[in-house]
Amino acid sequence: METWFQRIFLALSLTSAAAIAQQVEPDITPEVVSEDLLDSENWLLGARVGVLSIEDFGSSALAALALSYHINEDFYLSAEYAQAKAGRTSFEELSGAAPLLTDSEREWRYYGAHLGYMVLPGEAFLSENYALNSGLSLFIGGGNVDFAGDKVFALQLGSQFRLYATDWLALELTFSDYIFETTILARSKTTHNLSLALGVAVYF
Amino acid sequence: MIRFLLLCISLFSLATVAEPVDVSVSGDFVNLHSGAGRGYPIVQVAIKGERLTLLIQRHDWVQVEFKQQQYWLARADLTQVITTQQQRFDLSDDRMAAFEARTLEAGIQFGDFNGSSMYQVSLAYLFSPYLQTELSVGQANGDQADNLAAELSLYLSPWPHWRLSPYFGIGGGVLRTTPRTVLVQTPDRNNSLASAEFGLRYYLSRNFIARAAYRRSVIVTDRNDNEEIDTWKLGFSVFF
Repeated sequence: METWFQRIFLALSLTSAAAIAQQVEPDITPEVVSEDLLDSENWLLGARVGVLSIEDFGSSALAALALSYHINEDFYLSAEYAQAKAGRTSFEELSGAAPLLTDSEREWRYYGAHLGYMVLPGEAFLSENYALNSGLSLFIGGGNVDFAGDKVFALQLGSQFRLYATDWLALELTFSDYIFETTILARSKTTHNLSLALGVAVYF
Repeated sequence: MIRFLLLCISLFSLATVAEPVDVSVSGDFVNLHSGAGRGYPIVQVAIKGERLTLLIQRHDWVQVEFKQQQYWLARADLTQVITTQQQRFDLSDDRMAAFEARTLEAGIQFGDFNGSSMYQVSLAYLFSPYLQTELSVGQANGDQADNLAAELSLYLSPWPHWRLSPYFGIGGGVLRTTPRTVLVQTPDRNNSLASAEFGLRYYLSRNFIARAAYRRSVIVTDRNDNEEIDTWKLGFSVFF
């Protein structure tokens, strides 16, 4: 008799325990959020000034603006605008003849785009316990040069050293070679126009 | 009109600063680096249950604040954290859904314009996945002349849900030709241009699309014959 009751209670308690177990079973399908939730800072706007050596026309001051987009930690794309004003050729200086170009033809303008690759990311140690992040990148691209009343295609090659002063502000030292054909001195020739410029860039 | 307003709003919201996100580590630990790039040393470790604040994202890295210091967390490690609302991060680079739902596309293409090198920039607006309009401005520098072309086109993509999707379309615009002469000054010519284009679009990853196209254009001249030119181009676009 007693064991019979015990069996009933045991059966009842087991079924109720099973019911409770069913109730507390957690619903573990976590919600998913996109990383777009975060503010992304992949754009970089930079301005630089320096010196540009225009072949045959001496060296002059250069000013440039660049807008870059970081595709990933290795590659970036940049659109660039640069301008300078050419000086006089040695021939013009020495011969005393009429100038080869008018004042407005001496305006040198470049606009184009390039693809950069971060070859050497690193750190620069300013003191024993203070370091700034840095990076050396190489780039190649092309664009247009407006010079001496002519528009020509220019190839741009160069490298850039970037020092991150803060997480959003960088100092940049850019070396760049603008290679294009000119026909100013009667026959066509390939000219190398080297520039070295120092600038700042902000991430946004 | 409503779509345009929504677009403006979404562009505006892109420009506004997103709020930092508080998370806690759900994996065993995450490494915190000193810089956003490969090789930067691990200077701190956050263990399971510890709280971080995600500040901004820069390409493959996320800047975090941990114990009042700022570090960089690899983007891949976002799977090891969970938000205060118990949400996980979805890190899929393959966003076919976003690709199909895109409304704006900006691109750059390089190629050959009747024998001379050419490059162009373009901006497209998608009315629907099947139909889009594009404004392009291109420049070609040849031995004889420099050309500047501006065209408005309408493209049709019959299979927009394919990863490699063909499209075709027609367009029209203006072509400005500046002859390259040394001795005589010749005036610039402005001509009308009508074109047909066939191309392929390939969804790469994230918000990048590769694009290749062939375009045949008829230049309406004031001579007896109209001129026909071929353009081959290769480039890529980003979509928003």
